Amino acid sequence: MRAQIWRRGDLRLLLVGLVFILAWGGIGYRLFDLQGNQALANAEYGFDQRIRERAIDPPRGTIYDRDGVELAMTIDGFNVVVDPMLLDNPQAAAAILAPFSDKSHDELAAELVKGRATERRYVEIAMRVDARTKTVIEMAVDEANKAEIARAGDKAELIKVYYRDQPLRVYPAGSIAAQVIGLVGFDDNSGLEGLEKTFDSELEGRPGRIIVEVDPSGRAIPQGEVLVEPAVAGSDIITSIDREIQFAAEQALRKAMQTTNAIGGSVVVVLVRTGEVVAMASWPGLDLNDRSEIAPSVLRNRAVADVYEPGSTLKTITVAAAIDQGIVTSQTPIDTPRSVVIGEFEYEDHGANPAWMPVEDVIMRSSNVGTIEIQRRLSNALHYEYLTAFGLGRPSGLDVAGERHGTLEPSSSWNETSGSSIAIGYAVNTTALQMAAVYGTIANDGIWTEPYLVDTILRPNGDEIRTNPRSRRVLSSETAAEMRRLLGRVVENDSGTGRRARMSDFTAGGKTGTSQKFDVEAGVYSNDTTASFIGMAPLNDPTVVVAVVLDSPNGILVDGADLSLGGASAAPVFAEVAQNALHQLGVIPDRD
Amino acid sequence: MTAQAIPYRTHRSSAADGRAHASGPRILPMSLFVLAVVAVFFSMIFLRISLDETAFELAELEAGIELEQSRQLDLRFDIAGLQDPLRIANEAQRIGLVHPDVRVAITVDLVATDAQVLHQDAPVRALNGARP
Repeated sequence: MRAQIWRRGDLRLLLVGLVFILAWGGIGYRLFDLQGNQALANAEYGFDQRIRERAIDPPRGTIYDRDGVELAMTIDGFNVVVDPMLLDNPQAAAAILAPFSDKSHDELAAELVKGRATERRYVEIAMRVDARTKTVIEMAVDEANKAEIARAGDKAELIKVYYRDQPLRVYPAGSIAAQVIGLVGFDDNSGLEGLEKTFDSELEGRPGRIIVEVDPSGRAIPQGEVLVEPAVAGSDIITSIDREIQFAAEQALRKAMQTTNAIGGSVVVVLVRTGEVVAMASWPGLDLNDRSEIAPSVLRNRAVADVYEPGSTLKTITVAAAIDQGIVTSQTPIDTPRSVVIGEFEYEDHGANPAWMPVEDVIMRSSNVGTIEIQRRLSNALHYEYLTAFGLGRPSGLDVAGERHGTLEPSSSWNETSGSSIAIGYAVNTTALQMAAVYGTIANDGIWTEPYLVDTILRPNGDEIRTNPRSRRVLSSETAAEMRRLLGRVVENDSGTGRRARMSDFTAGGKTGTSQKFDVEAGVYSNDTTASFIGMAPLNDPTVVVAVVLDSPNGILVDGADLSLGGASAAPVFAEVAQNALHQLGVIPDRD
Repeated sequence: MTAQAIPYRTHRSSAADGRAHASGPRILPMSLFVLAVVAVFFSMIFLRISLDETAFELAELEAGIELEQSRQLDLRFDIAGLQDPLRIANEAQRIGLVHPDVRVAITVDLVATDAQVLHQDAPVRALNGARP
């Protein structure tokens, strides 16, 4: 009976069964190995293969002028690249793409051929092109490919071009307010200078990311998205800059540079009531859209980054403090000998003056000796108190990159000559903006108001952060009114040093300033000067304060005026800028 | 008389009889069930395809929106550039315009006061976009 059980057929069946068992066992083991032992590694491998993570760049915020016109904005841009390994005919590709590249046809063709030989996968054709240029490139490539297909059919040697996103920061007005706006890094669009740097954290936004499932050719599978963290757009910034006034200031400054041979200069225009800086011009200028011409020195916002000894424009504080304290009135006679010796210094007036003058003439004629006498009556302590109240020696509050605070030693450390020197604008350093704020105080009935450039920050969530400038009373209203009258005489009186600041349509008041530049290397004052004029208009109800500072002007006008003096070089710039600004602001002329 | 077992119907045999009896009419529900399963299967495929098509359309729409947004940005850039005072001044000079020798200020009633001009709402102006 047993012999019958182990028949040949049964043995075959057993063998087949064993083969099946082994085969299925092998498959089972492999499955167990893949799904069990190697499960984690395989899952990660598969995840890496089909999942792609891409960063989402946040759109950088826009910088507007006060009228909502873009001063700096970000538009879509692209880097145009090709993969030489995917180009069947590098010569033909170079012929089509060379017109869009910085490289010549031969250079590009050689680079593509070399790229194929070295198995390079990435050759740049053009960097930072805008969307329109991209469209033109796409059309040219499409046209070439269609012609090639018509010619060669299935054997067509097609050109494949890739476009990588590269947002472009652009400046519609180019050179307008360039130093105020600043610029961003070439590749990462991070703020490097000016408002772009100061408000970088607001403007840049927060990057997002997208994790997508892709097919074997790398295309995103619809509904395959795993995660999307949207980017948060940067905040927009609305500045107080008025483009037309800024343009007028820049044009006037440019013209002054040519007529006075100055090596640099700045103009600041501030609205009296609010402290808004509507124009802030610096020379040399630059075009933010043309980076080939940008040197670090021209990026400097001279109105806040350059400090200078303000010279006679600081006499206004000395006299205002004395009048405010009741120490003198505008009619108080002041002895004005030709010179006065204090300590090791001999101070003298520029030009001939009477033996005595009322205080109002001390200002009008810009008498050094008279102002020093007034300062001696005022005392160092009170003088220092007013200087700090007017904002000297401390930040203006403007909060822009590169701003300097100037220097003002405390009165406790003043020596025998400090008070006299500071009274006439030496031994103290200020910026043009600080001096504009000083005259803004007098124009604003004695209330110092913090100047500001950024009116509002508009967050993407709709929040608005508005600037709320600080202010404080420095002078009584009566003193401020009297000072405006005295400053008006400087411009409107034919004997005033600032008569060249007179305008055809508006009355004005202001003060000239000329200080010799200190040669740091030689340790002495040089013959070069810093010439300035700071004033306000219209005189009876000032709307704007304009500060003009010229670095090292020189030359003689046809009427004999020395251009190294503020009254000859800076005062006409004031007149041109102030008149343009007042017309632009719609202020009704007050001069018949 | 010989005893003889009385035949009886077990539950099993009655069930077998019933099955034999009902085999014909039960094809319909089975067919319907199969049809329903097939219908659900193809419906799911159809829905999936529809969903994918919709997703593709959405992706196309989003790409279109991005393109239009890009164009809008370019146009805003153009408009802001056209308002560049330097460009306007150069253009004016090119066509021969000059500054007037004499300025005559004409005061017109019902225009905004200086204060109104100066205190316009800046964010609103910005949101309204560039002025023409």
